Amino acid sequence: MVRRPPPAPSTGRKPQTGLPPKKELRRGPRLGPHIEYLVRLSEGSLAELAAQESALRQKVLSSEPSRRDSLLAAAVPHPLTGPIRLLPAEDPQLLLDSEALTRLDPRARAKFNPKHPAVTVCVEFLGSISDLPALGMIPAVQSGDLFAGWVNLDQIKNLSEHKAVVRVEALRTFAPTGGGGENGSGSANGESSLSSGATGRGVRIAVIDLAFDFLHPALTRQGVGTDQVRALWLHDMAVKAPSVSPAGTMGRRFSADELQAALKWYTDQDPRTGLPLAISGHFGRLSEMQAAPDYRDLVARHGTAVSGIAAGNGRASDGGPTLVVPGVATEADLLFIAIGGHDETRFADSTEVLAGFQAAFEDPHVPCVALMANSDNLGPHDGSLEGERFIDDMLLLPGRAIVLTAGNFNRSITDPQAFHAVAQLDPESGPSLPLVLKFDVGAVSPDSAEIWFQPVAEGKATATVSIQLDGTSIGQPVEVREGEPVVLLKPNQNPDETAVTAQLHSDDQADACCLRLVFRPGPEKEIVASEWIINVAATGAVHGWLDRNNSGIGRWVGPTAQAGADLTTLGSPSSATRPLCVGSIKEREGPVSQSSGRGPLRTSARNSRKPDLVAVGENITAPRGVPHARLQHMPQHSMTYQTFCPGGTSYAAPQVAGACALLFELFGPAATWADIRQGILQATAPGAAMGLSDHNGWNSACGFGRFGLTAMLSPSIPSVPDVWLPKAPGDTGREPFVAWTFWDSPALTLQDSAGNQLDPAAVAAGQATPTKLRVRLANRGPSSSSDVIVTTWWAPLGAMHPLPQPGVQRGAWMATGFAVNGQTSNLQRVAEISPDTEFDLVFDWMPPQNNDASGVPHILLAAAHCESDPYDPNDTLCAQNNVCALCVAVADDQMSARFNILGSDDTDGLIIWQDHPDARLRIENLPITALPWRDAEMFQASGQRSRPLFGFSNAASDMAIELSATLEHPKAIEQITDVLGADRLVLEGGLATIEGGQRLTLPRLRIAEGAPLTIIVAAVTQARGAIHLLHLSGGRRVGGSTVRFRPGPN
Amino acid sequence: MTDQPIVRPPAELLGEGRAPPEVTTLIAEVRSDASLSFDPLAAPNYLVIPGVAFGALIMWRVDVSWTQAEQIQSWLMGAPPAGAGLPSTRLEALKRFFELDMEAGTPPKQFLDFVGIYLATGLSHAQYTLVLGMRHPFARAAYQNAFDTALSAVLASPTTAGWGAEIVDFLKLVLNQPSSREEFLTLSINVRDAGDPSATPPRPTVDWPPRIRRLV
Repeated sequence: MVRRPPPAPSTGRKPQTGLPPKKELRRGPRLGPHIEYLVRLSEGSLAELAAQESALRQKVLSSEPSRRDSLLAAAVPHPLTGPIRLLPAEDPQLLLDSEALTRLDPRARAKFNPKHPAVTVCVEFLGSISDLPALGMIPAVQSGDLFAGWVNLDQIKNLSEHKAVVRVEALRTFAPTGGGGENGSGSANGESSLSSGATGRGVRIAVIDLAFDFLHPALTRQGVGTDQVRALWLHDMAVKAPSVSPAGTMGRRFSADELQAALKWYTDQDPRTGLPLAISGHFGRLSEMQAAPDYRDLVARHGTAVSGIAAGNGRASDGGPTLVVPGVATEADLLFIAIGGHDETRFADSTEVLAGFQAAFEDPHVPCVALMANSDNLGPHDGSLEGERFIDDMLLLPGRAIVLTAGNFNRSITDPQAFHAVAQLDPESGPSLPLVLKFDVGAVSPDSAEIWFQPVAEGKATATVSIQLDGTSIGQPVEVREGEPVVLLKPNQNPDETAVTAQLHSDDQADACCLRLVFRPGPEKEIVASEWIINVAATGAVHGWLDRNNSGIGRWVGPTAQAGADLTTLGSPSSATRPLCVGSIKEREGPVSQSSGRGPLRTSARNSRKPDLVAVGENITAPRGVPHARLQHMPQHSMTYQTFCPGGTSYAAPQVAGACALLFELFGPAATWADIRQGILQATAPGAAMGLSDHNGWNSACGFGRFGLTAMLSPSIPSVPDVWLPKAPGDTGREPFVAWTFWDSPALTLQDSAGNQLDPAAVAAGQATPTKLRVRLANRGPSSSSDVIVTTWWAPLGAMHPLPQPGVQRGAWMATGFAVNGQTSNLQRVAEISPDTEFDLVFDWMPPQNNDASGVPHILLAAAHCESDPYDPNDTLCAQNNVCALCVAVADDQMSARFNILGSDDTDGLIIWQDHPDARLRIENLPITALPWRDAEMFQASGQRSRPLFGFSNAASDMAIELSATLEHPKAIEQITDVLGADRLVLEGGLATIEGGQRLTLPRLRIAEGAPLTIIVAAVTQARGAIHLLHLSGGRRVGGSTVRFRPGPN
Repeated sequence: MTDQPIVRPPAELLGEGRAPPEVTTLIAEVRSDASLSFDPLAAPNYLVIPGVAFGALIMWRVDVSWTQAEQIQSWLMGAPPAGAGLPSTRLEALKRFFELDMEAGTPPKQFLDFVGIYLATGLSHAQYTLVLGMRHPFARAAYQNAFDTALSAVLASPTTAGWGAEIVDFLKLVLNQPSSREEFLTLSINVRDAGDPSATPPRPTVDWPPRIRRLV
């Protein structure tokens, strides 16, 4: 083995329950705190605040760049009204006018008034996307139970009262995190992939960023006679969708042909044609940006630099091969997704971001790495934010990975810009320190702060807030309880007419309470100079985060602010569980960049550690984007590369994204986010300047260490004894093992009493009877393995997850039927295995039988454990090379296969396929309770807000059991059940029969943890080859089986 | 940003003007090292740039006849030659030229704000003032180089060469008249209020309100 990271974490989320993870009783409000504030605002002074914020925002964008070096981390405000469009019908970027609504909803059921203010929201919804317009929402993007789109503010409460709606919250804005680093010295990008032969060919890198100079030679491909653009398309979310599109369509996509036309136009010496659409659309938009030079410069350069670091080919000029500074995946296909109308209040709101991620993964057949370098510093910081759950959900299928930046919001203990404060509270240790928030003179922007904590006991949480103006207390401390907002300060109580409100919410997803304070200065005035002393009745850590709208002027002060320095300062959505979160170090052997976001997460409940790793983020050299020069057809600038200083996590994360593309190239499309994560984290190394780490090798600043591209690309050479049980004939022992199937191990051999090897298919067919199981171990390491414990197990076909644990009954694994030297046992010890040698162990083995003495289709497993190379039953089989499996099964009736899986602790999914491309498959009699059934009317009619999971004792109360339905369109089946690849679904008597082509994907099964589910799959047309089933848990490949068809008589 | 819409001068004020002088050379020289912050509070009121701090302001002034003023006005409001990605008016195109085409520093960065073109009127003649703001101060040589590079690039592109020629002609008109002058406004901390003999000269402190020193 090489250094193996801890198992990929589980989110613990189950689809379509309407319940938070592992919570069944408690329910918070269905309106999130931000949307509730906006709804209240809409009943009063919304337009005034929007105008006030718009003017302030424009002033900030156009004003002096920064108080320090950190241009954007500090200076771009997040307006409270940012998610709102006052007049959606006339929005210059969104398609929400009446005609577009008619195209979306020809029957005019949509309850959306394009002339009323609308807000962009994320709705956790148990119905389908087609149900939403009639409930008042214009959806733009969906992932699982989460939908993002627009709702009239005056319809929010109606929407939230629908039984299929679990929760509604306004989407946050994400701001660029470019800049913020400190000047460092030394070299930049570090290592090159060029000598390895890995280029990322056949893999996509989708870069979600501000803008792209897609004509830069580093991002084009040298062709015969003429260069070719590498981007497959550029989707600009800030350009209005074509007018033929339905309402809710996000942005304008420029195809590869349009980008190529732009390249041809630019490279023509004297172009006769007018401006190509891609030039006028994307570059033209940037030229109209109204902002300060530094900001314009960053928008013009950031996305191009990020793309170049991830995937640039190093070319400096058109037609030339000159390699300046190549990126990592030099031949990956590029997808450019531009977000943000940069001079407007709706900057890069997360509907655009989420739509960007969805666009990145829209082709299910090609592996894709999505990279984004934008984040926000508010939120629960535990991965439970709507946007974080959204992108976690997008990684439920193989072939997908996401890389995010850790953000540049960290501040040292001496820095006055304290965005974060923390108090550790223990009710038994006496009075605790409060969080103290202070605003000095000059805080012109509305601002907000969030205090997250775990209430002391069951029941309502409380908080008290004391106010000081000019050092004098104003009244008595105000108590805030869950529920209605409290006005802490009225405009007539202070000379600046500042209004301050507080609201306390419980948040089911975060399993915590959030006290939200909103500070609103009077018109043309500032937030009154003040101090806010906040106490909460809590247990454990109390975290306070302040938005950056008045950076340095509004800040946390006192001991708790000092305690909050260098701690839990990651941006959102980088706390999401499944994406890789990348921080920045100054140089290869240098310390962490001061501004690089720090972990740990606010809570360790999900066993997720962030950041995951770091890479060099300062003084990085990358392609220099010149979109305006392209727009004006000006000649190639002599300086096509530049060194970015200050740096930041924006320039570190692309190196990891490029490396992910190389791993996809190596692993193939079966690789999941967990495989990619393991491959990346195994290539990290702790640095001397990185500080102390925990027993897993992780620390809050640098995660699992500095990424090493060379280490990742080198053949893995174990440094310690490495006991190896190959999983398939082509297995090299590298961890993780990545393939669609991993239960055909050559290390496990069935033998008859004479020691002859038996074909598993013949055994399964009853044509041969094994009496022994041989386990062949190898040692890949440089030294001998000693005291190796080998255990063998069997389980019903398909029930591979969770893995067995010696001494514990776990999952479906059984130790029966095995014997050693005549004694019942599934365990043998090997004293020593020398390097590069193989060692055979033989178990007596009596396969399982039915009552009629026929064989039971099953799967065999062997695990080898030694102290230097432990077997981890909590990890997946593919993550470790000292465990292997062998499937023993054939189709019992020549047409169908029967699989068994156990529900896992995360979202379960299945991919079922047959080898023959013309084959058709049918899943028979699948309990509908185990599938999503996205029918809003079903929830409304039943009056129930959730469905029980399959396997729960109350599963019989699932209202979907009562339904009868036939769906005959792939899109309809996908919308209702999430099933992909099916073209017919019949629901009757609580059982669903699903028919489709060669491959059926069920990404979101609803199974209680540990509950057994039988899947019956029939071959409709081609009963040849085999039927395979892959079990996914939270997107990780955790199990599966293959059932082979016996050759027919002909 | 802060650019002001150009208002055509009242027709009744436009009298018969002289023929414009013959111009032969282009002067693109700025006389300052622009090393200090500009105090927006002390800026002329007509600039309307509150809250924006510049490293320096570049002001090009020219006195012209009313006829010439009318020509300039028409030119600014007219459409630039059809070409690559130019906006609908020359005024906007000029703004983009200064803001987006001109870069200075290492690595090169955009560094100018086009504050606006201002028209002051009198009985005898009109006066145009073109104001550019530098957020970060750049030395004279760097500024001149940026100007030359940007203009060369515009002239070199077949799609913008016509526009480049128009910029040259316009700048000749602005910069090479007998009355042309360039002013560079930067922070001054050694000028006191001459109208108040008792006033103490301001001392350099971090937050001290600065004044303007006229360099030319």
